[in-house]
Amino acid sequence: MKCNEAITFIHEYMDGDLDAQGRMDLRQHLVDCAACRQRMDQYTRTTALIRSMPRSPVPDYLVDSVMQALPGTRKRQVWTRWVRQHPAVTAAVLFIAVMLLSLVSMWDSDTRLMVKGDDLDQLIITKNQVIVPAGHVINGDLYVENGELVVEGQVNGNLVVVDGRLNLASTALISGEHSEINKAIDWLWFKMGEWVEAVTP
Amino acid sequence: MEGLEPRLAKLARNGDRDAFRELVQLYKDRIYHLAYRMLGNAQEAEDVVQDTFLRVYTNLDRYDDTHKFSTWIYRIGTNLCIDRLRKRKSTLSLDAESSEGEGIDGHDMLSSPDPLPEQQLVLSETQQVIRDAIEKLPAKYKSIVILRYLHDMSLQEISDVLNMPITTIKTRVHRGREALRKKLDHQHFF
Repeated sequence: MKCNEAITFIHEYMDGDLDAQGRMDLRQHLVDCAACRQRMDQYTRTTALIRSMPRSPVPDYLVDSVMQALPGTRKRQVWTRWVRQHPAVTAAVLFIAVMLLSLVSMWDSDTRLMVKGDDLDQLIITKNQVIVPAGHVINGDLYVENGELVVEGQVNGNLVVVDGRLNLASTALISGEHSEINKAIDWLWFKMGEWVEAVTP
Repeated sequence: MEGLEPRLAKLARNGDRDAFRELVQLYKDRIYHLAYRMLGNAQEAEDVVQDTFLRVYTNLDRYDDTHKFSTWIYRIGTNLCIDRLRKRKSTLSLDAESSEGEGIDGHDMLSSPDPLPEQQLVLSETQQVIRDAIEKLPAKYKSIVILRYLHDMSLQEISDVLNMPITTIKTRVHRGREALRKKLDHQHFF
């Protein structure tokens, strides 16, 4: 056995990977070779010294500082993971939430009388009253906010009164539906209905 | 019968913080010693322990319990240490460039002692020689020598941790051993 071969055997032996035959061959070489004996001795001492290195004390606050550095509860993580996996649903929910919020903030923001509809010139409009006079015909819908709608004439369409009152005289003729909306939530439903109508062809 | 660690990992994954705390208790010392030896100072060792457990925590759902938990956490810890050594090297070379004309070159900086020396340890002269010899090993040998001799890992375990073929690990153990022996020999240690 040559020395360079023996060095490989020494490493194998130190790794615990040398078979019986190899150990015999190595032992034979070491008997004859002082240089390899010395080298093996140095390896042994080196590794023994590394193993004997003292360990520095671990600070006792380490567990607490690790735990405090963790992100919030796993529950929230599950929630964010769900959001990542369902982008479309998340977007839809966010959209509706934002729309509802904007509506709620619009609600009560305006207390002035508002009238929308067709044939407005036929109406008598006072500070807080909208009157469809007797004998007049409105062809189309009427929408009144923050006031009283008094119908004495004829309306060929729908009536909507928000935050006000609908006053139908006995002479009133209404071809469409009429509804009074006095709660924010009703109004929301109404608005949603309007949107749905607007986006569906 | 499932082992303790995979069970704790499963509990922790489902939000049981106490179970995770157990895992921290089980591994904090090992990761701390690993990082301390790799980086040579207490502050960075603490940082590595923090970062390691943070990664373990955020990746619990990716932990495959057919593998040993210890292999996984050691892999995370070792990689974080190697990253830091790499960053240190690049900042050192940057420093060396910026401090031109001040009579400091990169080589001096590299061989300068640690910014935070081991204050807590009283080392014999012999141990100081060994420490410096390990300190100066290239990272790829350093991690393997530390795992082999300070964490008593088999070559197979090291191969699993570092995700490298066992033949590579073997070669590096041999080279690391030889490099250390040479260093000590140069110091007229033997």
